[in-house]
Amino acid sequence: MKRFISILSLVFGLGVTACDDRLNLNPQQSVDAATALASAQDIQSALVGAYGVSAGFLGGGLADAELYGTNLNLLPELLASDNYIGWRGTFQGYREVSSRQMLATNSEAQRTWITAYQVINIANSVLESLDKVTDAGQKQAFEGEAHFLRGIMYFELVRLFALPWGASAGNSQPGVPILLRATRTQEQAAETQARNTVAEVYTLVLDDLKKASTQLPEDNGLRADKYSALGFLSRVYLQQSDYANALATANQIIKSGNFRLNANVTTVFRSKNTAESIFEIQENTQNNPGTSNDGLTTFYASIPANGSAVGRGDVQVLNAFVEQYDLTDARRTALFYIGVKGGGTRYYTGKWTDFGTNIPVIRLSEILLTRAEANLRLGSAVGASPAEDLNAVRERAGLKPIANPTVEDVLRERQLELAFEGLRIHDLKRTRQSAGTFAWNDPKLVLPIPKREIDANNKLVQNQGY
Amino acid sequence: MIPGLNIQVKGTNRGTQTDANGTYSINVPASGATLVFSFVGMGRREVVVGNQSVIDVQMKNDASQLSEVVVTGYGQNNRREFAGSVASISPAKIKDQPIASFDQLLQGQAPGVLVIANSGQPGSAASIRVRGSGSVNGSNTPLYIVDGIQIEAAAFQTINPQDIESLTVLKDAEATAIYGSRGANGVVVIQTRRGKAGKTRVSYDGQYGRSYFPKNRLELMNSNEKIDYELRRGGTDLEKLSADEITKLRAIDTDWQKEIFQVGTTQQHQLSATGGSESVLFYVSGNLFSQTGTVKGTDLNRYTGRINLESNSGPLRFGLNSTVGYSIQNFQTEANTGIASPLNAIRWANPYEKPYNADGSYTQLRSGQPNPVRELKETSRQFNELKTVANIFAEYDLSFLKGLSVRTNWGVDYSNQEQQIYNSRFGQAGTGSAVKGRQGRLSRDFYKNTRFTGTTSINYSNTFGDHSVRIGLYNELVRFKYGNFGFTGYGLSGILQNEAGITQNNANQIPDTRGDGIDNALLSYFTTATYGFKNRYYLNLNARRDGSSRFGSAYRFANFGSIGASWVITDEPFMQGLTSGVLNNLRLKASYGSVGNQEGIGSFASLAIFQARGSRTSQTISSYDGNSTVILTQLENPDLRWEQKNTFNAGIEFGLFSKRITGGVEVYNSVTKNLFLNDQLSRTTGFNSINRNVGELQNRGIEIGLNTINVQTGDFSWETNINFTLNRNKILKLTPTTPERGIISGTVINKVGYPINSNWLVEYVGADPQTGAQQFRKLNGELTTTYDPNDAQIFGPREAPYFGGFTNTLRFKGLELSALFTYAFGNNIYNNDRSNVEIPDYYADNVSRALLTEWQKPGDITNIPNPNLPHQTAITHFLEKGDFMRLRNLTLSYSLPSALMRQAKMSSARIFFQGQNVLTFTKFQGFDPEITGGQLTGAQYPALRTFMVGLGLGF
Repeated sequence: MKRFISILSLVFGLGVTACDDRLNLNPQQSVDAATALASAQDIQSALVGAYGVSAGFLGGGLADAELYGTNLNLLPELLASDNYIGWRGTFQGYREVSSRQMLATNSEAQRTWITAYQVINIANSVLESLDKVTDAGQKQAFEGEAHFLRGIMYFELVRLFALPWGASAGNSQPGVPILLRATRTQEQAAETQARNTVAEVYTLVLDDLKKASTQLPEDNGLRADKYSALGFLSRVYLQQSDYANALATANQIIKSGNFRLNANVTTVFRSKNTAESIFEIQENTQNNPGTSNDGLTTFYASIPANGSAVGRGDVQVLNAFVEQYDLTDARRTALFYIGVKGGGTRYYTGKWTDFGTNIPVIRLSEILLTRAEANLRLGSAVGASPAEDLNAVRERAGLKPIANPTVEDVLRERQLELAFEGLRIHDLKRTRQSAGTFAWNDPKLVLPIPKREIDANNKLVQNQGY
Repeated sequence: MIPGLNIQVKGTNRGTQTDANGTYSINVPASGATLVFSFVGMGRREVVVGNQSVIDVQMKNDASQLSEVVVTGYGQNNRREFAGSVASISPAKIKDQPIASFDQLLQGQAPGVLVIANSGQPGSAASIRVRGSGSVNGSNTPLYIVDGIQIEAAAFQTINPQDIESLTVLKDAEATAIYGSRGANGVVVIQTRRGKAGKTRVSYDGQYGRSYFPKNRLELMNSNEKIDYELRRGGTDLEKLSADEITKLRAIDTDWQKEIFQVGTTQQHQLSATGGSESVLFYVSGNLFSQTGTVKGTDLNRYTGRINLESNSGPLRFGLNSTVGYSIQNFQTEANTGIASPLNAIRWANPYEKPYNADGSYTQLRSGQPNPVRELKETSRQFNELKTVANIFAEYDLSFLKGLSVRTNWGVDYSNQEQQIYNSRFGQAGTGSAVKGRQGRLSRDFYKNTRFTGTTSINYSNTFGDHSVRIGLYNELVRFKYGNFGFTGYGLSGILQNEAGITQNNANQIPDTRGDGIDNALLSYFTTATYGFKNRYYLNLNARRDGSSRFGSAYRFANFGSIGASWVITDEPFMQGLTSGVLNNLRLKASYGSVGNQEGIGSFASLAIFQARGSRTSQTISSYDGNSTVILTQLENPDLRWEQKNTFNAGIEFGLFSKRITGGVEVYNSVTKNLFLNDQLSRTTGFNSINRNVGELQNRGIEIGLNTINVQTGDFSWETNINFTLNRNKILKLTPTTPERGIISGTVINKVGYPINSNWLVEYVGADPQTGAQQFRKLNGELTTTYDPNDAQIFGPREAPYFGGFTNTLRFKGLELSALFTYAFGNNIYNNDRSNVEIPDYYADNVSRALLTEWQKPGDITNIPNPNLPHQTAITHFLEKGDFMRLRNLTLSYSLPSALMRQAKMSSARIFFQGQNVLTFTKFQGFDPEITGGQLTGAQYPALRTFMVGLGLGF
């Protein structure tokens, strides 16, 4: 029996080479979250992640097609397509948006929703990990950047997924759910939340962006800085028709002297990080939202190249809109062309023509026109007269100045100057103009809460009409 | 004389086989030894050795399965004492089929095993489900074991089917218990050929044949139809053409299928030798397999060699099984909707276009669609694999206790793969927007897979009077490592169309790099025991403890086990009178047990993980503005644990009328608990879903196998073999947050009370006669023209619940004719391929002939709606029955008479003719109804129709 035991132990000594330690493996290609946000460097890595592009797996950032890479530009344009642009593409999600016949399952609404909340989750994670940052200046900058990311995402969500500001007294219409903590555990993930009101979301957005505008440095490399935050802040105030604050914010940006208009209207779309640009999404041939099924150039462009074409030519610019520009307007001569698609009969915009160039999100012309509009509405001339600001934009395009502009002149200029840059439906809503036959507060101009969301969270109330 | 007869010393693992002349020799212990002679289809005989030095046995043709040996990979069991559910497949039945991937050969061969070929691309693997899908988020692929070691599933193009000696599918908890941590989806156990003692026997097998593309059941418009259709609708390029130009176009009627299809050829040559003495046995083989597909530019060339060596010296047996293979596969993309896939482009290219201009250059199609011929010729895709599967084993009989032995078996499945995709600058894919610089692209990826399996056991086996026992204690470690690296380079604008030609130092053509890795391990301790009483009552017990690195430390280990019993009724004394004439065999068996599943989830599925993100364009580890980034992609999941499958199995086996009719019926009920399921999260959390053990899934079924000898007179015989399986799959429990609604993803739903992955579509009821709008049925039965996803309903399962096969074999002297039919039915397939050619918006490209009947004016009664109104596709209009039956294999062979052979100094010679996929009966509108996943996405590469002639010679 002794012999039996010794053979048994020999055999199992051979087989049981090392006991349960064999199963203690650690990931090599990824990082366990327990150790991931442990230092300033890690937190910076996560913050940068909120800007990037992802493919193949879950997660996206500002540059991705779900956000500024495509949808935060294209959806506000398509929602206001009347007498403006025509959707010529085959993607059903965009076609539904363009015809204002969205289904609750609309794929574009769905992917923009999830990605915006992913960025919000990153921002919340960073805010909760700030104690790991020892350098006070760096800590403040990270905090500001996280508030910026969270603020702009809630701003975009509330504008797209809720009835507009002013649609009800006290803005008590449902906005989007506000989450102010990171999801780290399964228990947190299981908690569901109802929609906050539009007023509550705007309050948060203002709070976040104000914090961001004081905490962010003047210069933060090519990521968001103080002026990026102020730029968005001016948009928020304008959306609320808070002209005094819109004016003050716009004036603060212009007065900084950091920005000036480029000489040429095309420069901001052809070169990276030009003098005119206040907040810009960085892209290159390796990092971009897509070259065949996603991306602004993919949808807006139709340029001959090597026997095929750059872009799918899905967003045709209607002749009626092109004709609103003066014949000599540089924005007409240099920023429209006849595309390949449609057999040489359709106009396309020349703003998005290269897959790898940056996407300017906020640029100085917008801020000038915001200051002009606010000054006009308030009857003031803070910083400069409305005519000076408006004509700076007009003269750059080669147009004659307008000596005594009206609000309508400024709004018209805004449409011409900022066309295809994701502002159109928001401007129509805040100025209470119709988009075709749809009144500014028509529920058809609001994206559905994704059906998938309603299914997973029974506290969510669907938007009217879905 | 029977070559290849198994001879084993009872109660040990010591054994040999008869040589080509039916002779054998074996060393037996000094006293009390019993020899067990067995052969598939011939039953089993036991002879006590005593003092005999020569033992001749007469084997009977025993069509009953009762005496077969069951190969489980860890040893052999006598079928009569085995309560588990297994199916043995005779390699002789399948080895001649001209298919590179042996898993495809299992179709229709065994009850309970659903094999869907899925693709005819040379070398592609089939999809196999043993008794239905038992997991939603985990893997449903069976485990493959070659000579005791695990090999990579669905990667068989570099394994030579002709080296297979036995193939067994283990199905229930009892049978798979010894693979408990990996056996939940069934186990395919393969033993390669062992050496046979005696004079060295050399065999040559060769075959040659041709393959053809099957009939296309999805009809598209011809030139005249398409031109008329476009002109009627207006809005395409054709409008601008003059009447003359239109007339010229009408004269062109390109059959795009013919442009990219070809007649494929297959040839295979195998030379093998087997022999040795009792102390050293060997088997060596070399094989060359070469197949060209029916789509141009697709082929497989494979070279394999094998050496199996075994040494027996006294109590020690020691051996090596090893194979090395190299395969080169040229392939085309399939099962996608990409416009540059030639198999899609032939659907979408207009028939009034030609592939070439008069000067021989490629044409540019008017619609902007890629020219299929251009894409085919200007893109090459190659996959090379070097694979070795090898194991060494040592077994030692311990002298101090009779029947006690120890055994250890260590092996590796190692493969090194390289994939190259080259898009030249002359094709649309190589000049498309995704190609930086639009001057061609070259991608190369390297993969390295290593899986070690080590099993060590101590076994005891003995008989005491009426009692027999066999006990084994095992320890097993499986370690898997995978790594890959790849790059994509651009700007192949020069002469060199390889790495050397890639443009460097150009900011617009930055090459991309990528890499990834997987690492996991399994550790198991288990025991198996069989107790027999009076050779007719048997009890099987298994117990095991398994650990997996994929789970958090709290749930890493789990216990599984099984119990089974077998009763040979016909051996009861009270049955003796009955058994003689009518009832020859009757055995009952039943088992219940559990096995685990952890395959199919991520290696670190329990951890919260940050990943470096890839960029959309090039899948590289990426950055934003030059900074590297990470993103939280997975929520922590410390409670994740083993999926457990509990199976009850009961069966009856019988032989009637002197075993003219034999067969078996089995029923089973298996319930997977702690089912991995993506519990949908509110996305406001920043996450989509989390993989939780929340569901329960049931597979119930019945399997029938029947073998009848219909005629047996003199030289003529007719045998029929039938198998049928019914599998009912049902979700019993889902995540607590979505009990009543189910989990919907696109057109698929998982809902309590229904099969997994049921179709989830809105019912379509034809075009509204007044407006031509699509009409849908609402849940309350009313018709509407307003599409609402809330009206979606369940329309049938995606996996076939009924399937099987039947074989008829006629023999006359040396002639044999055998026909295998296989079938599967009861499933529905969403035909996305058809949807793509019926979407009226896409009419600049070629469209389905069905659109000729589209709604044109009020009063038209048709299924095809007004093309100018919104068009929905997630509707039942595109759902089709997946039923099919096909004549999978037809073989006519002739073995030359042995008298002739002796003159020619050969031992055997056989010539054969065979057809593969000769006939297919289906209504499915595509090239082939064999589709997995319930959806025909597009770019279908159907199973080959192949006709072969072959020759087998033995010396």
